[in-house]
Order: sequence, then structure tokens, then C-alpha cells
Amino acid sequence: MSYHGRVEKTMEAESTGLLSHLIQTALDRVREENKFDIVMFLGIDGRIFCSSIPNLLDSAQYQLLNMVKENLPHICSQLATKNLLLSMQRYETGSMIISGVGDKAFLVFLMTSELDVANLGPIAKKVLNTSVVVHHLMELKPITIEATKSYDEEVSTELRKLSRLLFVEKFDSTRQYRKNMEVHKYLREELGQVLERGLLDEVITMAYNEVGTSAAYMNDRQWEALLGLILEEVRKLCGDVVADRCSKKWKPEVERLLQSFV
Amino acid sequence: MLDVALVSLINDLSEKAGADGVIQFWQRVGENLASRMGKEAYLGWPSFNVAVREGRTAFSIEGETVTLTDMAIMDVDGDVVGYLYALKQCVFLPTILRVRYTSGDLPRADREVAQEYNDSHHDIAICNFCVFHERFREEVAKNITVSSQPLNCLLLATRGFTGETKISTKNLQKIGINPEHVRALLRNYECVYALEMRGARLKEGD
Repeated sequence: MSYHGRVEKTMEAESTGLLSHLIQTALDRVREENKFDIVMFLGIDGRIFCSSIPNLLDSAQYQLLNMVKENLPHICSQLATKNLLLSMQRYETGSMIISGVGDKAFLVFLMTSELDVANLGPIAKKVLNTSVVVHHLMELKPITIEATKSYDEEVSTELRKLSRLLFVEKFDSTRQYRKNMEVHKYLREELGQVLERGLLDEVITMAYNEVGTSAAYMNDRQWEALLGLILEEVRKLCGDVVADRCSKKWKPEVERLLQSFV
Repeated sequence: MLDVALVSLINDLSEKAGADGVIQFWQRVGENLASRMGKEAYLGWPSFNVAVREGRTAFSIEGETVTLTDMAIMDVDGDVVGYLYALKQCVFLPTILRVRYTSGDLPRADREVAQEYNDSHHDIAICNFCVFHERFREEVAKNITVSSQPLNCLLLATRGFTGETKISTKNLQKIGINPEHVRALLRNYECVYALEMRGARLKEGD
């Protein structure tokens, strides 16, 4: 996927690693924004898919977590056989909210601070919205305006934010980014042998600006154009012989890097 | 001759409709002219910049435009979302000179209109024609797409024939460029503006 020219740079979960990161981010965000102590995403067979748990648990949090573990078979049975959609339980140590995510999974929210029973509306809405968000991600649906238009405004906004966060946090681990940085590094090293440092920076920066993007977002056609611009400058500054020698060496190598990168 | 005649009307317009009325008139002229220029689409910044250099865009009505590719505008992700463009000579200079040669100074209302515009709209006008020019560019930019994104025009700095300069700190803040960089450009150019992709994320949280 090309990110160049996109005003809103967001990313879809194109691999299981990215999907896992996206769901983890969703759970972390709902935990931090709503002062939940623990948020877990589980399957109705009891497997924990993802969880957002603080590094250190206090006794109340530990007690609540144990309570969930003890009740897990019962909760799973309720979800699998009785189609449980939402359940809120309040104990002396805290509160437990369970919300179904589709037919085969559910979210558990644990809270040791006091739950305002008289004013449950906002928290219930947040929990249900999170279920819709996680369900959307789990079903691998695209995060586009068309795909999210049937949702509540808060849900589509949260999905867009998650998609943006995924780009910010994970773009530098994509294949496109790593390949581009490899080509950029190669060209910079090679050009550094022909031009002195000041000129090198100027030529490289101007070439990227002429192409209209930066190294991270280049595509194959833009690399070709960039190489042409750089060679043109080398020809002006160092003469035809050097430019021809560079062209013979750089063009095949850049092509090889673009095609062979894994 | 027509442009000189039109300039002589500015005093009358100002007396009848006030400086604010003249501003509204020039803005309507700018919008109407821009709407007549039609829509344009470019694959990317290189093709748009080549079209600017070759004088093929709607902006080419202004005369020779210099694309300052060393002054690219980056979004928060480091991608290029726009550039600075400049005019070596104000597009209205020939008219202003013709007025001076044929009928003396520009009408008194010229200053008044520019001052009113600077006080109430955007502190960038050197003469009353800047009012028309800024709106014209803004409207033209809306009709041009680069990589399928419509453009946004920001007037950044102007220099009049008397040497007076105006720099828009408001617009420079939007694109994160230092006013001193633009001040240096005014030594060579009389009008500097930015074209950026509409909706580009220039600061985190936009």
C-alpha cells in the first residue's frame, strides 16, 4: 500500500502481529481513559486473546482477577448457551463488567474504584462501544468511512484513532519502510563518495523535494525519478565521466534492492 | 487603458460603498474570475510543479511563478504536502506603473481599502489589489487537485513598489515556517504564498 500523497496517514492491520497490536492498543486506551483496572479480551472457550493489566496488582485487583478466573466456566457457558450480551456485577472489592464481542468472544472490565450505580449510562455506553470496536477489528473489516458509517460516531472516531496510532507506532516496521530506508542508505553512501558533505545534503534534500515526498514514502517510480535527478546533479557538479560511472553502478543496484528486498 | 480606467473608479466606489464595500467587490471579482478558470487535476507534486513552471495552471494568469522546492511543507509524518511559491514581480505592478505615468498617484482610496482589509480581515495587503488577489488564489486552489487532494492557498508575504513589506504570522504558524526565512525571500520576490494539500496534518492533533 502506498502512503505517499495521503493526507490522513492511517494503517490497516495487514498481519496478525499488527492485528494483535491494534487490539492491545484498543484495550489499553479504554483502560486508561475510563479508569478500569484490568481489561481482558477472551474467547468463549476461556482462552485469553489479549489483556491490558498493570505491571503490579494490588490485593483488590488480584482478588477480582481471581474471581474472574474462578467464574470463567460459568461466564463462558452463559455466553455460549444463553447469549449473554452485557453483565455488570458489583462486589465489595470492586466491579466486573462483561460484554459480548460477537458470538465467540467477550470483554471483561474490572474496576476496584467505586462504580456509580445511579449513573451507569456513560460507562455502559463506553463498554458497548469498545465491544463494537473490538468486534470490527476481530472481523478484519477495513477502517474506512464506508465500512464504519453504520456505527455510532464515537465508535468510528475510535476506529480512526486506532488506525492512526497503528501507523504512528508501526509504520517503521513495514516492509515498504524498511526497503525504502535501505535504498536511501545505499544512495546516500554512494553519493557521499562523489560529493562533499554539504553538497550531499543539498542534492539529496532537493531531489526528494522535487519528487514530492521523503524517503519513507517512496514508491518504485519515484525512486527512478529521484535517481535521475541525482545523476543530473552529479553530471553538473562532477562531469560526464563520473556521472556515467555512477549511473552504471547505481541503477542496477537500486533496481536489485527494490526487487529483491524481503 | 481599461485597467487605468478601473483604478480611477476606486475612489468613487469607496465613496459610495465605503472601504468595506470595495473589499467585498474585489472579493467577488476574485471568486468570479477563479470560477471561470475551471478545475485541474495533477498526479502528484512533480507534475503540478512542472505545470507551474511551464505556465499551464490557473495560477499562470499571474505571470511567471517560481516554485521554491527548497521550501517544501512537510506534514507530521515527514511527507511533502506543499511548497512555497513566489512571484518576482507583483502581477499588478504594470497597472500601477501605468496609473502613475498617466494620471499620477494611485487614488487615495487605495490606501484606505488596504488598511481596512488589514484591520478587519488579514494583515497582508500592501495595496487594494491584494484583496482581490488573495481571494482569487484561495478560490483557484480549491479547484486544483494534486494526488486527488484539493489544495489550500495561504498568502504569506508581500512587498510593495515602495519597499513596504507585510508578513502573515498567522499563516506562517499554520505551516510552521519561520518569518525570518520568508523575510529573506522578500529580497528577491514581491509576493510569496504557500500551496498545501487541504486537510494535511501539519501539527499532531490537527
